Amino acid sequence: MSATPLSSAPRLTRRQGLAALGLIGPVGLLAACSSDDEATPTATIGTDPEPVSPDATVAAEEALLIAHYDAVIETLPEAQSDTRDALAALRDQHVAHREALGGGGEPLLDDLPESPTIATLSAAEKAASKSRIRSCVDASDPDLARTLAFIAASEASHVPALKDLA
Amino acid sequence: MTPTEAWSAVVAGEDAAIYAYSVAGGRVSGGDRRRALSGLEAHRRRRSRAAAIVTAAGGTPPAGSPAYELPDNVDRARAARRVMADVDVALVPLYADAAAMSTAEDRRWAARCAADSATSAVAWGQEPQAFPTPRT
Repeated sequence: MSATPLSSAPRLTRRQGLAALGLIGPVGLLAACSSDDEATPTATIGTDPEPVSPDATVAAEEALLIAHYDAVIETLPEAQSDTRDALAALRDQHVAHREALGGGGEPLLDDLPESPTIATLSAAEKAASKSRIRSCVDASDPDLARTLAFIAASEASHVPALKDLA
Repeated sequence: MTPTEAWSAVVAGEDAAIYAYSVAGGRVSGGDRRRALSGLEAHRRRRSRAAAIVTAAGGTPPAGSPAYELPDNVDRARAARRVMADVDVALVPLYADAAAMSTAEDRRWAARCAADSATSAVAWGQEPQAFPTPRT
């Protein structure tokens, strides 16, 4: 009855497999610098005398998402341990995001919804993914842009995962 | 890695996805079939736009392979869903690289495609990941 577990994930092409594995491969810093200088966004955040780096801003947003998950998990009875565990697994991915951004950043806990639910989490994930895409476009460092694209992808993918839990 | 290399890898990945969706999409039914068909269209559009970016940068987009290796049991619906999830998640790092190697609108589009690909992979049943990458 059990389907063959496909222990070896399909390698669609050798080239494709290799390319996909090269995600943390060498960063073409020179190429990146020379490619499109005039189009590089100038990452100025208003006239703030002490501009917050995108990492710290996003790290704070990640911290808020973590608090949001904690709040929702707290509302669930022990009996719903499967849902709690699944939410905790998604929460931990935000911990990984925050760490990848260097940690730091204080969450604005006032921004948490009054009655946090899986639905409010889902909305927060959608908004977070869009925000990461904006930060990605504004990033002056290609590595940061790559990291933010990954985080945007992860957060967008949490939405269908949350739908299964609702 | 140059921008052209990054976008060429996207073209190759989208080619593989088009092939996989064409085959596996025929093995699912109902809502999954509809999603596979719209996914196939999306992959074709993205391949076309990525190829245009390569061309605009003075490169030559890679030609697709006539066929790709798929697991033997792709005719089972569950395995078919898994194949589509796998090609989708494999695109995420390719688009993340393309985002890193691009600026402005191309970068925005790359990041959006990374998000759409990861979302689709999870909708096909893959576990969400903090940094979506293919299973090895």
